[in-house]
Amino acid sequence: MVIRKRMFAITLILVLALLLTGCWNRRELSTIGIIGLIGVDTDDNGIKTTLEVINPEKSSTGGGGKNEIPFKYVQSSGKTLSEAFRSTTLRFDREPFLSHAKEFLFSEEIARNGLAEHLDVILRNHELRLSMHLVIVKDASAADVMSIGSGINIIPSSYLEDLLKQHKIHSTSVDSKVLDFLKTYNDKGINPVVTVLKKVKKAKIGAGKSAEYELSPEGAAVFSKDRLVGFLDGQETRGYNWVIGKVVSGIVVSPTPDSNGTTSVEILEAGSQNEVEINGNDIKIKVKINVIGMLDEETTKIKLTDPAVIEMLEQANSQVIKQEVEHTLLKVQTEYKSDIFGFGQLVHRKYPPEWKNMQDNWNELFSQATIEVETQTKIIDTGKSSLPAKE
Amino acid sequence: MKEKSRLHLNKLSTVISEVSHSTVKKKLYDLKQLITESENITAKIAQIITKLRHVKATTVFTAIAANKSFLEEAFKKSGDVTFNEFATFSGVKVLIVYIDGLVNKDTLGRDVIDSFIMKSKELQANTHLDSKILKNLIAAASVTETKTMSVVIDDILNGYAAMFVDKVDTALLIESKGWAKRAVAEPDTESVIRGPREGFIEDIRTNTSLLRRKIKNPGLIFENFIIGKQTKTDIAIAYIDGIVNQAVLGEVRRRLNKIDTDSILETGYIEQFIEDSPFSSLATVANTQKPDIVAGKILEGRVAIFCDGTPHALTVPHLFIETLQTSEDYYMRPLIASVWRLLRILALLISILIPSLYVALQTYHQEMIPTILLLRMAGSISDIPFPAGAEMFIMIIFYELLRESGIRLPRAVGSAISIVGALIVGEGAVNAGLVSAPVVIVMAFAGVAGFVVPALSEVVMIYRLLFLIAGTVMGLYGIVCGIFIVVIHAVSLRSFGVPYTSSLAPSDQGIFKDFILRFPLWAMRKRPAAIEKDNQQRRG
Repeated sequence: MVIRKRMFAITLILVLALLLTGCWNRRELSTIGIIGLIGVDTDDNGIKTTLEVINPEKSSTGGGGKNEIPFKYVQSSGKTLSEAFRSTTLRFDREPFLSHAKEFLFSEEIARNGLAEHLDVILRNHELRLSMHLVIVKDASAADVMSIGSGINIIPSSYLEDLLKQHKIHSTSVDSKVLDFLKTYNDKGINPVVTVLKKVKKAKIGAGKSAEYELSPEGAAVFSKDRLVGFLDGQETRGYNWVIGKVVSGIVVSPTPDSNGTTSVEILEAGSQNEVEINGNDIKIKVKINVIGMLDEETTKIKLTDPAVIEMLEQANSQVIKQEVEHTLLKVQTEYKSDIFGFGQLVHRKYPPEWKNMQDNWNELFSQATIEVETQTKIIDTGKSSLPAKE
Repeated sequence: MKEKSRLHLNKLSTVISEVSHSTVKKKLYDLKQLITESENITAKIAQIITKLRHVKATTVFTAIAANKSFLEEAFKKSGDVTFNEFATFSGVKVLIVYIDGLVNKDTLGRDVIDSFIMKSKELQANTHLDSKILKNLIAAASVTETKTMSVVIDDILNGYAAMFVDKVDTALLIESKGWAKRAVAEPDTESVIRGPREGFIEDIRTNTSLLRRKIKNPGLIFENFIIGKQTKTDIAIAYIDGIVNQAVLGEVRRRLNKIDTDSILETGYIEQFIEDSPFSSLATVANTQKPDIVAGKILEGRVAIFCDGTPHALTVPHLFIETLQTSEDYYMRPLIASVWRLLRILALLISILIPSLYVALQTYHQEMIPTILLLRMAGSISDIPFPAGAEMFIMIIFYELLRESGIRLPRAVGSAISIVGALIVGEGAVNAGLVSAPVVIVMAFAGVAGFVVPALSEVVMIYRLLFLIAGTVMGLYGIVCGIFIVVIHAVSLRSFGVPYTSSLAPSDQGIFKDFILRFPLWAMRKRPAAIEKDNQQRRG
């Protein structure tokens, strides 16, 4: 009897508990606005957010009328990001749904004043993802850049995402996620590098209607802690990518020795080995870069079947890479004084007790360190043809 | 009352504490043995009592007129009971009683009446007629004699012809059964690509003979039962002596003997009386129309139950895995059979879960849907007036209505219904903006997948609805809760003492060999351990 009563009570509690859960975050698909892109600018109020709301395509059985733009923009402002997000519902008929946002754009101005305070909402809000691309907009406001979609994909957020993903093909830009930023920001031995986005005038070709501007992610934004300190251009960015071993592919152009031609080598594989040595106050950093490439273009007549000639080309090529890397290192050391390469982490690993004294002024120490660059290229293939086209 | 039960408990505990655990276990086991034995004895006593009841009935009269009037009275002048009176050349009056339609009249005329008249001519005059002489006059294979009227009546009802001879107080029961029978044909619901096409029919003897032809072993035993006070239906249980799980066999006998009902019209009646969990959504008794499937199952140690009047035979114990097995699994090459198994498991999950997952993801977990797909979905439901859950619910109900009407309607109308269904739902409802296209697709997908596991198709429908409700109210959390409940329920089921999810939980080597994958026959050296206890070795 007692057991039966207890069983009944437990069952009843369980059944009632089901009701308590209710519909805690139940949202019909037709009540939410799917956000593709978030842009953050400054405003008199504090923060001004611009959201790209994707207007889902109707399953058009009738066909025809496809002149409707598939996205809309909502702008709102507030003291903080979350307040700004909330206040969009004052003016827009859909609640913003942020989980599908692909990129988070910040204007240069905000980045210079410190980015970390604005990233807390991404870390905390369950809708925002840490895997969003983090982008700094150079020479324009974020809202300005957001409306540009000049690719095949007409939705700007998707166009931008595809554009950023191509960094692997040219290696002259970086692809940074919010998570990467937070990780490097919290580490004393490394500073963040963030994707940069520029508005570029588009060449007008053909008679059709086309956008006036297009976007370019070439280069990178250099941070010291959470503050933007400067930019790298495309070449310098590849120099940075060489050092951290993030070069996936690309073309290295070098002059052909003993002639006025040029040699283009496609990077097949690239890796780096960095080492730190401390002698007293002297910090010595060694960067060793190994590249395996394939001859992609040769503008002059040389004997490509001769191993000695190939060796010459390899020499010339590694020289170009060395210059690229040294230029970047010098610029970052002298101009930005920010260890974006993570040499501090190497010190931390190799000299833990010394690191304790160094970590707080590591950036200063880094800017005075001597850096030695060693590069080596190996050309393993000359492509379909063994002879140059030029006679 | 509370006090009392506590007292009792105390007593028991004091007794137990003195002896060791194993002794208690042994004693309990002995007690169990005693209980089963006593149950067997009760069953036997019950049988004897029924026999005794028959004995007290009237005996056969010597005068055929008296016999005729008695039987006329017994059958209440029913139109199909035929009384055929004739006389031999020597003037002996003979009465033959049979039921028109149950008796082969050709056999009766040629082998019984004709032979009786012709042979009786050769008898010397004034021979004292007795049953032995009479028996020789009949050319039928099976002739039995009886003096009891109730036996006569029962056998007439079973298709025997009863012969009464004047001045002889014995009735001769001549087996001359012959009624309309369907031919052995391929069952519509269990068609195969490879394998035998024969299926059971409504006649129990034909069915047992089909099974006997597959297993030519004197160990194959059919035990007959007659159940149903009104229908007196023939029931037979089939098993292979030496392979069958004795515990299951004893349990089947016990449960069959306990059935107290007035009619058995189909094995479904038996199933409902003997199944373990009548209120469970999952069946613990299997049924099939195919002799090869029954043969395969009793060769694994199961017991089959045949019932006269239906082509469906039952097999017990029924385990979950049997719903995913087909006879073709064992006729096909193992690799392909294994892929089909996996496909079937997948289809089962899809059929149950896809509608609820669709609704749950769409209303709670939009972040889990890839962006492009989400946009498509959002676009297609943008002007649907119902919430996603209601939309899916409408579709499920509509689909089930279509399916049910397709089964019940005459063939010719059935195809019309499917056209109406396809056109109205597929085109009209989507165009009118009542239902979105993805919902139709999801439901069609779930429906098609549901047919891959025919043994569970009704259960799948119920679960689909329950999961839909769970998914609509609580999202993925609800679905996961639902899965927990279903799994816990399935694991707690038993079929004739064998855990329903055997091979998986409790697991044995069968989980590898014949569950998710189907190993080659030469690798399956042992019969399933869950069912087979005594004689596991299959080969080698």
